[in-house]
Amino acid sequence: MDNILEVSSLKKYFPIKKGLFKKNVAYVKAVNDISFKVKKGETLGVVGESGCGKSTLGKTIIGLLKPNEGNVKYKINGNLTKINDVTDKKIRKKINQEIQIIFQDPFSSLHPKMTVKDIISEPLDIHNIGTKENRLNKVKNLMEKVSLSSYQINRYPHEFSGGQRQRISIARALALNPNLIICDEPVSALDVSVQAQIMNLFSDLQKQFNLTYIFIAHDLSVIEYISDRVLVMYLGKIVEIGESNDIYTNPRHPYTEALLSSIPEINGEEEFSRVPLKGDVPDPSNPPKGCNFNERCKYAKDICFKKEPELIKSRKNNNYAACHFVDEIKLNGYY
Amino acid sequence: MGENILEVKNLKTYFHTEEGIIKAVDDVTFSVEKGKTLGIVGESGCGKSITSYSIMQLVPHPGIIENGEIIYNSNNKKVNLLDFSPHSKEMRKVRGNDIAMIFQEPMTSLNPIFTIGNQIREAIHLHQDLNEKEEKNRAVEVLKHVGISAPEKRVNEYPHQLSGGMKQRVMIAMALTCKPNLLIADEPTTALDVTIETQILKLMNDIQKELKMSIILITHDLGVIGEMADYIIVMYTGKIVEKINKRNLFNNPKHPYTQGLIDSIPTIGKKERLKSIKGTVPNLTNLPSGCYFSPRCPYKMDKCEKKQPPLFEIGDCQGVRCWLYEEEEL
Repeated sequence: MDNILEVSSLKKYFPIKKGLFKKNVAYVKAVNDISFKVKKGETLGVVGESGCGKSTLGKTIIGLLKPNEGNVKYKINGNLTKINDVTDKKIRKKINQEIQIIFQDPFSSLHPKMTVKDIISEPLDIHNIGTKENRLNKVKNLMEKVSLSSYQINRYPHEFSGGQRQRISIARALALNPNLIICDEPVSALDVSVQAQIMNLFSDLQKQFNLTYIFIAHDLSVIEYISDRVLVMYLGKIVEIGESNDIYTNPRHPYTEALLSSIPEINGEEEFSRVPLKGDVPDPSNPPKGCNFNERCKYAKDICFKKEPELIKSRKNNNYAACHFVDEIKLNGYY
Repeated sequence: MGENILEVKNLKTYFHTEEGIIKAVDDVTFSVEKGKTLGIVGESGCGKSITSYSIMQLVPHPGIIENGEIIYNSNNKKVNLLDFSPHSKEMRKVRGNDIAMIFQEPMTSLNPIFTIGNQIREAIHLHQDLNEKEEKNRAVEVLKHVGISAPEKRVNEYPHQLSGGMKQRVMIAMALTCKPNLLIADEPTTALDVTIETQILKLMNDIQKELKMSIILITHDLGVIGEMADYIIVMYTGKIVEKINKRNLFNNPKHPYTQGLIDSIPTIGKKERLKSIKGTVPNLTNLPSGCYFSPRCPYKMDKCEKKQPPLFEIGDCQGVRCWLYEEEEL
């Protein structure tokens, strides 16, 4: 299948400023040299702990943040085009229509003084699509698609529950018929029963409109359910990327193994079954030398403290992992 | 069945608001066995946190405990905690000393302007008769107990110098200073990352075994329940809808709401469509007639809209608030 998006050597650093003259004393390397491709119609899950840079990655791809280095290419009219420094207004407009983002918190991502109608039709207004009547019909149509009733069209966000608000955000993202949607933790603020409804909605819409998702989440069971491929991040870097099934059954990086072992067993067995990982995520402004994961890794050897590992393809499956011992250590999958 | 450390009977905590009376905790009865973990599970707004605040008599305004008994069993002497006024000496003695509580957000429950040693010593100072040096040593000791490295150094640090997981360890250390008989943990790991969550749950599990402490664990996360709880109560709109042990919760849940919750979790390795519960939790000021779950229930009968079901006892120590089980009642 065709690649719709190619990210190469993307870097986003945030300076830490100190002192009277706000001198840059250090950098938080939130996204540190990340490259990957996304195929049309697939869901790429991005998983990692808080502070690993997964949200920054999403925001940098869509252009809400300007990368320090590297580029993002997106397929426009059949050609992969650099989109992070586009000056051509026409192309910019097209990109803005085709790539959309949905945020985590449905309570703060909707304007409290706008009605549902205004919120969903705002993208249509900005891009001057259709007549007033067309737009109203389109809004009603979109509300139906996300299972909101059209009699609620003049209501304000505070009148809706969390799940319904997330449906409004989804309708807004769909208004311009996008190809690629970046979903930044879209279900983590929702209750379990509602989370399942919204996840089902995401899969239905994907089939219906042939959407491509970059789905960012910290919940490993959510990621497994929705993703075709999974990208695991740690301290701004990719530690492993591969087919969802391979990642969960046959991980090639110790961090992925640790994440998988922290998934709770839901079977009612008596004993405590999780294997805790030692230590905390290191300070991102001062990452350890060598491999970022070395201090917490139970397989770490001398080389891990000296040399930073590259992302290498495993010989055992199609996973790529940033580990010196990618095929040498035996790691446990989830099942 | 073992001895109970806590028995809550017919607890009702109502909030008198301008929109009407909100029955946050509506006639709730349960007990906690010595040395065991009771899990309280439910979605946001089901009354699980207010239940725990009621036990500690820390219900926020405008909430009032209208009715009920909270029997605490200390050394075979049973006292009703609701006989004490919330501000009384007796209640203060229970709080922290006999029953300790840890909260969801370790970031906001520590005071940013005091060192953590200071804050732990406050808890020791209030309940134990030690001199300053002994207090300090005890603080270092509990920090060590919860797995904080270099406790002698950490004791003089401020909360902002610690990570989220470390702060939660400090909260647990504070709760443990007086070796409480009962620990109430209100969403203790919700704000933490999965790998840190695992560390904290393991710590709580180890400490419970060591001190033979009872735990009330409040969470919306069934995965946490699966690791920690011995038996579970499921709450919905202020009422208990099911009392169940862990094995049955995951393998044989009875109430349609519990079944819906279990089915809503994506199972790894199965890519089937998720079975979700339709609709949303009703507004507590405007509850449906009859069974509160009836508008969302796939098995709704005529009766359900008319009459609120009682808690039917159908198996060993189970209770289920659903008309489907009327005939099976023992």
